[in-house]
Amino acid sequence: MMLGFVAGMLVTMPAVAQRINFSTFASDDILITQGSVQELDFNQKQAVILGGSNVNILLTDPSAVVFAIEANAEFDITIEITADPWLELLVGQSIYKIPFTPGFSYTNNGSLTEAQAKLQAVPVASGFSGITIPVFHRTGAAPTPPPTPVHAGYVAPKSTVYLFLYGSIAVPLNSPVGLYSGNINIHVFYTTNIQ
Amino acid sequence: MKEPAVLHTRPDIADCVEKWQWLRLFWIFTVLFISYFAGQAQTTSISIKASATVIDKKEIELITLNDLQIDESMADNGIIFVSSKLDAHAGKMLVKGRSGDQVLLNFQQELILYNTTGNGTLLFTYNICGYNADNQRAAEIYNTGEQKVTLSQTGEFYIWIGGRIDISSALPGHYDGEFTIEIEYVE
Repeated sequence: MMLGFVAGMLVTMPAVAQRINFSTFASDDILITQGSVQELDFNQKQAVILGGSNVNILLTDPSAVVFAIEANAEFDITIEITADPWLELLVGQSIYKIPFTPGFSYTNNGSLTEAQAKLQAVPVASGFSGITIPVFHRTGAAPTPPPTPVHAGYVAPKSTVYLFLYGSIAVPLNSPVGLYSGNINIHVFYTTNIQ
Repeated sequence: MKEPAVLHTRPDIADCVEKWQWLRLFWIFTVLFISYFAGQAQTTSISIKASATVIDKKEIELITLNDLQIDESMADNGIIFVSSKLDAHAGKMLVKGRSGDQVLLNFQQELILYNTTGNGTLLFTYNICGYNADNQRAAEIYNTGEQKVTLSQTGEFYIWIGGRIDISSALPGHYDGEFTIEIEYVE
């Protein structure tokens, strides 16, 4: 009877795609910790910003924002970054904008410190707003067989992915003075193949 | 009397198929149910701000980065000396303005410090140095209370403040004072 049930379940399960649905197996939370730099502040890179100037915060600058993402080392995660392509200043009823281009890099080789991770960071090509990567870099090209299932007494290995956020602004010549700002949203989840 | 016959019929094939399909649907929904909630639990989001303050070409700012730190433990034969050029305890200020322009610095060379917890005053003699980048060791020492300097390409100029004070006759207490510097564009 039981064998019949199991056999029936296997027959009726849809065929699994090539990519593993890690979210099904995950039971651990993803923890994001922000470094000492809380904000992507272009005045930290250039104290005086005038109309007509361009300011670039590079990966190597201390004003780049750093996140440490701790997750199950055997899984893949997807990181999605959304931001408006401008910083805004509201003056009365009018909105003034400064074009803003974010950039980001990541390190998933198990680096123990932020400084170490920064030296080995992999930049993401411009135009991409999301990446799917192993939490801990795998040498094989294809996803490995399903990871060790959660069971009593098992402590899943963890690893930390470092995410670096930076960018550039191009201030129009006659920009009104004031504080221009925008939000950058970062969403991290265990990779799923469910569309 | 003959007992009525009990008819034993074979299980109806159609009934078995129908029950099997319901069981199969139950398992499918159970798996999907578990998958749905398992997938929803492990997501994390964070939001940060990006910002830039744009100033007018005519504006100029003076920002205190570090206060001058003086402590009794620093005294040598009753004299405390903080070198503006060499000492990490020196005060530090940043002038921000229009790139490449000249500005005139006016500052006091002596200041009376007052005891905030008792009686007595102290005389503090300042020594000032400055440079157009954040490099204290490269700074030029200024010997007068007025100095014309040129802002860097990024519109910045750094000033370090040290000084000398004789506490050999000072009464116990906490002495406080404020260093004042004036800056204006040179036309």
